Amino acid sequence: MDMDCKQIEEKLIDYIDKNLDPKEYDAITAHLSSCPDCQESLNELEQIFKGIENEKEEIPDQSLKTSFEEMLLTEKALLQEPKVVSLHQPSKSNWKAVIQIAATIALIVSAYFFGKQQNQESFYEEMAVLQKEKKQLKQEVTISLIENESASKRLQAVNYAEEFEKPSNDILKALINKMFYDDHINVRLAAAEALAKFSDSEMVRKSFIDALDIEKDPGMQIELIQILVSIQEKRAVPSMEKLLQNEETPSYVKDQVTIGLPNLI
Amino acid sequence: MKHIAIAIVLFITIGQLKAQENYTQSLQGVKTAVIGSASGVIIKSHDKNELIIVGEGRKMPEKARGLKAVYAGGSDNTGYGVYVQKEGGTLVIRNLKSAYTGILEIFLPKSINIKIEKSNLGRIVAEGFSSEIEALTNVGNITFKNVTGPIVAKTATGEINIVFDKVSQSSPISLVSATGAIDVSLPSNTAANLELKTTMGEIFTDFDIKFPVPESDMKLVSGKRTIKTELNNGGVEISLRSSTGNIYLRKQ
Repeated sequence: MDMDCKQIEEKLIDYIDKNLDPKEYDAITAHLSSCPDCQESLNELEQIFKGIENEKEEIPDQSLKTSFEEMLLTEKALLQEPKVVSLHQPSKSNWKAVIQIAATIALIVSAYFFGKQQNQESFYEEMAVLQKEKKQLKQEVTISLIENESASKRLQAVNYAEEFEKPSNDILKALINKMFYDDHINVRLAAAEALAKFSDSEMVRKSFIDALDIEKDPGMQIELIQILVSIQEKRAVPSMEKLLQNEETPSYVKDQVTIGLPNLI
Repeated sequence: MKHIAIAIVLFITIGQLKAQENYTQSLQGVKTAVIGSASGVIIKSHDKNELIIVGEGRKMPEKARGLKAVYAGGSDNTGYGVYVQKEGGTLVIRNLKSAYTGILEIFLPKSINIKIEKSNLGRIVAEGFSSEIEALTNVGNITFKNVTGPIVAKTATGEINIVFDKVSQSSPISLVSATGAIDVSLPSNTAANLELKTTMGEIFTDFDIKFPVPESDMKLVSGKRTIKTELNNGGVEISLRSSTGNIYLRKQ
């Protein structure tokens, strides 16, 4: 296979890299041995390749990096200015920008209200739980305070109990117990007064009737008569008539019965 | 000069002699004094943490020398006709003498809580206490001066007279009388939720009281008359109740 020098030259790189099929390779080798021009060309190519291989990889030093960053910052600064200006400059895309801003604001506002509502809901839930716990705690405190050895503290407990809208049966029983048995008339009177608020309860109504039947203290008798009249408890009539007939009943207690009885009959 | 020295020595000697006539007991760890007496009781405050029973008029008669007084109410463990016993944080003081023999006069620290139980005929007088006082009498008057409360007091036929130095906001004050009058003086700046209630008596005061709106169902209320109002925007509960006695509430 004969090849002219030009063809050989074109294939010299592949020859060096041994990327040729054996036939071509042998032909080129034969040509090179007989052609000093091509031999020189090969030598030159080999020199260049060697030079490339031997060339050290250049590592950029720190100063280069720093100056690059400086350059970047400068570029950024240069870029920022026109960006800001473009928002304020009246331009064709102005309405678009306004809509974008409006949309952003709308999103932020709705996100805020959504978050707020979420918070409020959980807040109300927490409040409800707290209030329930508080009510329970208050009932427990009331029941323990109502047995305090200080009469003033017991009065305070009765006042607490009076504030419950729907007191538990335990509270009502504690109040009834105080109305019957406390050492101090002051506490018994306050308990009766508190119980009058819960006269929807049959247990409470019954306790008033029973209390009047056995009560000896004139002050308590008057309180009970007034309560029984105000809650229209007709079952108390026999106890009241008994008081009227009893010689020991003070006249001012009898007066209360006389005033109250007509309202029940 | 000599005379003054003699006078001083004399005074000291007399003072000591007098002091020896009184019964004294330490009140270490005592928070409450429970007093029972058929006769009247006068309780005064002092700065010492001890009980003093004024001995005047309580000494054994000359003729009883070598004998022991015997009382139906219990043993006289003081020699003054008074049974005194410490029970935990409570000091029990029981006057063993009858309702007809003299008043029991004692001194207690001003911060000790006082409970006076079932003094029937006798009056109760207490002065200068910044503690809680409970008192019960049938016939006797209840008279407290320079106190702060809380106070829970009840008398059947006696009167209740109380002058407050200031009013403790810690817990309620309640005064109840069946036929006697209730007369209370409060500092004008007292913060309180006031409840005045009298069935047949009348109420007099120089405090500004808002009168309750008449209820529509007056026929049910009959003779019951209650005034509920706030003093100085409200505060501790003060309840004054009387069945037939008048209520006097004074500003001071």
